Amino acid sequence: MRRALAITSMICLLFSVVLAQDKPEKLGLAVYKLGERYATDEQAGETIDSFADYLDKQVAGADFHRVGVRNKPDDVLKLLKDADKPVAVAIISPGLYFKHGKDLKLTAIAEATRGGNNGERYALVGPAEAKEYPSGKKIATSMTADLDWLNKAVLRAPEGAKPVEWVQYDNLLDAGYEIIDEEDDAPDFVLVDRITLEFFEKDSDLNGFKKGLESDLLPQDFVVEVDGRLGKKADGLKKALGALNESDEGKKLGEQLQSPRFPAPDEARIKKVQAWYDSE
Amino acid sequence: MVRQRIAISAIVGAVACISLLVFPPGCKQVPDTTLNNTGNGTAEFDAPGMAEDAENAFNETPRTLERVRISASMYAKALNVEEARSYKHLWKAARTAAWLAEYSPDDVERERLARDGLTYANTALKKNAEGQEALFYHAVLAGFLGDLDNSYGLDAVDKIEESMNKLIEQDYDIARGGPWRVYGTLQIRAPGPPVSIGSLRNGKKNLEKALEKGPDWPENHLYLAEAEFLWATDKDKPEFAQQAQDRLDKWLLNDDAKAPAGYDFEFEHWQQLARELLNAQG
Repeated sequence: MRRALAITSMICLLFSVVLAQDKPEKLGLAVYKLGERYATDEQAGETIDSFADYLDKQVAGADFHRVGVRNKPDDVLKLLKDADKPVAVAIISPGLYFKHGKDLKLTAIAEATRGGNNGERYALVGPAEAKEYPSGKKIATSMTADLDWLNKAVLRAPEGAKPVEWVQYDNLLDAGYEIIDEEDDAPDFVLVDRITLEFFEKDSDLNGFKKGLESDLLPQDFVVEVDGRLGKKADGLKKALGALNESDEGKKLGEQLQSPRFPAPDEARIKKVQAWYDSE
Repeated sequence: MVRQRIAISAIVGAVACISLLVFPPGCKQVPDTTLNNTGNGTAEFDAPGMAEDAENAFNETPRTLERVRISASMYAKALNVEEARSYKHLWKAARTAAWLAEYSPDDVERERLARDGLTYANTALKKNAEGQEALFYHAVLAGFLGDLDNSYGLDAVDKIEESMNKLIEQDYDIARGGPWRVYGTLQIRAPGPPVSIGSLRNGKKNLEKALEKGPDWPENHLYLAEAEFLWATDKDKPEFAQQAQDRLDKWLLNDDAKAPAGYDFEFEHWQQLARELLNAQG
């Protein structure tokens, strides 16, 4: 009798092991977009769910699910540290990666290509050309939630220079119009990415602005693995992200995520910016 | 800088609306279908005459859902016949469809009419590519479709921007400042670049221009008030919030506020929107 029970238990155990192997591995997915007011679960949740479903089909044995969409550093940090809802993979801003990558054990496995561009280059635009670091001037940006990113990577102050004053604007066109309209407290310059620069160049009121100081070519958003939680699924995910634009479904998702594909990150660029962070 | 969520609504008398998302849940092109060429050349009934009747049904006052639905049915039957498909009948059919796409309480009907209306407008533009009325209602209907199905949102925004800019450059007025009202409302609600074309400053300017074109039209006051509330917050100028409140009271909410002749149905809708706008200010 005892023997029969043991055999039955063993069969049950084997059966459960087989079931466990067949069951896809649950992998949490989080998204953090700096300076994008509408990057929230309410606004973007549906798209991220579609993205997770797409990845499920591309990465064998994986079951990605949305953990959250955030647009503020503190909020995403809370998300990434929540042991009850572990995040295995996240799309995050480069600033968050350089500041917290080591603490949170983040590994960059892919990089966004917004507008089809490799890397991002920011520029100062305004009625006068900013040829040098504009000490003490007011600069409009949508990224004040991450001042380290602005000061350590985007616009590095020469030693001893008076820092610039960053001013938050959700809408950079309106920041430009404040300058044109000579409003009180208008900024002196506007910090724009390459896509926003195109809006300025097309706008009949703003196309007289001059492009001045530019940043180095910087990383765009990273896709990061958190604490090795992707395990053997990491390779499949990298492949799927790099080939996102090779199917109709992937192309649509790329448009929604504002990045046609997510190729491997530029390691040299990562090292360069990480050195800036580590040196201060 | 504060912007409220963009859940747009639209117009006929006027304003187009689109739910614009940072991550829009799809990126479909607004349909470019036209009425097919298999329509009967002639019919046993007077199809052009029926299209005229459809226009009369739309214009009959007081305007009601039932009357406009009858107008839409008559247009559908009449425009099945090739000889009724004049530019005039087509853009007016698009207008009827746009009205129902805005005011019907049934979302299924709204989307069906938005699609039908786009077909009429596309066909009108095939006959006259520069037709201003068709351009206007095409953009408005694209806005409604984007509002009802967000996957059309981004393309709808492009359509509205292109058409309204064209009409504004031509200083073409329809629906009492319609092009400025539609474009201005979109601008105050949409995110700015790099995501979209939003600009509170430009939107407010366009809404002020719409008011110049139709100074007594309550809908122009409604949307300018929305811009003024946003401006008050954005620029920390509370006097604009007071101005908006006064505007809504005078033109929509006070006992003295009256619907323009024949527009009682629409006026009730605008009043409801005005109350919601006030409530949203806390």
